[in-house]
Amino acid sequence: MNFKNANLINGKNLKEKNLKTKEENYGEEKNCLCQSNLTYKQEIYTDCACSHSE
Amino acid sequence: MIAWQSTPFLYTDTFTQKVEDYLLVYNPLSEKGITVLNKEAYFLFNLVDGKQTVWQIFEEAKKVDPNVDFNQIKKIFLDFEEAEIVYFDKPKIKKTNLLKKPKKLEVWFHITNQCNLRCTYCYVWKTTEKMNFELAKKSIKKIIDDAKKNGFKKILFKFAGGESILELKNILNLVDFARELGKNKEMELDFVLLSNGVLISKKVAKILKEKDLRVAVSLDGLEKYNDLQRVFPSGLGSFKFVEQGIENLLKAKVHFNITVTITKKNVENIPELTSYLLKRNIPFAFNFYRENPYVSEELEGDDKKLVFFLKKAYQIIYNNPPPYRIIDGLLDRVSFRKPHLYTCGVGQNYIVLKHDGKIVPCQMLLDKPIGSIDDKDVINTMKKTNSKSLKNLSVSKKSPCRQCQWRYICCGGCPLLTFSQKGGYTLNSPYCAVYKALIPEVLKIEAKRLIKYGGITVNPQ
Repeated sequence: MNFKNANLINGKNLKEKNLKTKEENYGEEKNCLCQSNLTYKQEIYTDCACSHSE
Repeated sequence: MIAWQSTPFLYTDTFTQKVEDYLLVYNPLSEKGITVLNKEAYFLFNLVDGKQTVWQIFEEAKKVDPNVDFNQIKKIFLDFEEAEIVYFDKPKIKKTNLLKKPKKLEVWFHITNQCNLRCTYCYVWKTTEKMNFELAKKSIKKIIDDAKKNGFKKILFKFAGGESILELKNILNLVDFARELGKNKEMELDFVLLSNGVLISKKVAKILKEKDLRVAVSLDGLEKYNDLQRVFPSGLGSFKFVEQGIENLLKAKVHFNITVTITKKNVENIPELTSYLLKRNIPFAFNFYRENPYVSEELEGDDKKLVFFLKKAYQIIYNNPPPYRIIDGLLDRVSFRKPHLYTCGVGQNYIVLKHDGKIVPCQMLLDKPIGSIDDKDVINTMKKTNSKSLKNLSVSKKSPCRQCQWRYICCGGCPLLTFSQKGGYTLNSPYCAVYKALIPEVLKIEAKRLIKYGGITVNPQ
């Protein structure tokens, strides 16, 4: 085991990473109202008949 | 600041699960979402027991990697702390975050009672009534004004019915009107049309694209499985027509998603439908059927069957997850977006406006008005919904949910359904066992997406 390589990822750093490197793969940008701070290209907001609690 | 003598602790209710060579860690109290650890991080995380200090963990790490440096260990523990999967001294997450006032208002704009379909489970009693254009304009202005007064920053208008596309011309004019108003009042606005998809011709799709309108299209299965429940008044199935509508939306590059209502009639087709939608790169949401007064037949299925076929569908997504986050729509009313206290926005940030200007608590209670668009403040009217027709209680008031690990993502389920089936609002959802069985499966899908697109490394020995 080499702890130099210890690594983790979550949605937040995935977005940061993709903004720099993969954004062209994700179609058009769309703001996500459910998560107002997320305007990254891989966030797709799914609408449905019910309301969302915040 | 982490020092050698600092002791890391795990948050209560933290969920962990092995996903291939990685560890999925999910703290349901955190807004940071799901975190995936690679093998080395997993090793260190496993040593967190609220007793060992970082230095002691470093000593353990040295046994398997003699060259390890204390700063490397410190760095990964800082990352754990930032991801809110461990804490030092005292938890950083404040429960008061759950009490923040919503900034986004959702408006169900029930523009028409008319519909070209007669779906077997529909909760709308179809008539020829529809919203008068002047009333619609007045309502939009009133809602924007009252939302502004009450501190909302954004409004999502959902044009619904009936079939919203039947009123497309009026909707387009209303959107223009609302956008102009929104600009003047500094209110961010967003719009979506809820549609059965049948009337989405190439021309309609082009218009929707030009106007930057989103669409949520209902589709309940492939071919006969859709046609068992989504039919024209003649009884003819709608699948072929909806499929053409979807093609038109795809070609016009409209932002849309599919909403699926799962009943006992279509549940076995959900895996095939999932493959169909993934292949076309169409986002989708699964909702469970909820009984209503206009449906006489029994449509709720067996829980075991529901779990079985959804697990099959989830496995298909797991094997090939899309690059975008999909999990929030995969399990009915369960949302992983961030911890919350209420299943839905009823009484908090959700207005349902009928075609006649009356306000009702939920779109499934169209015959239970609590006020009208002429009320002094429609936000106050909305808050009246914790009345006799519907109580949307905080999960903290639902006694069977208080100790549940998933209480802040499920919130006890739809209150209307719970009341109709169990006779009380302080109880848990009739789907509780289904949710509990499937939440770990849904979390695995997000972990797999992070692994696939996140570039997290698996390192050779």
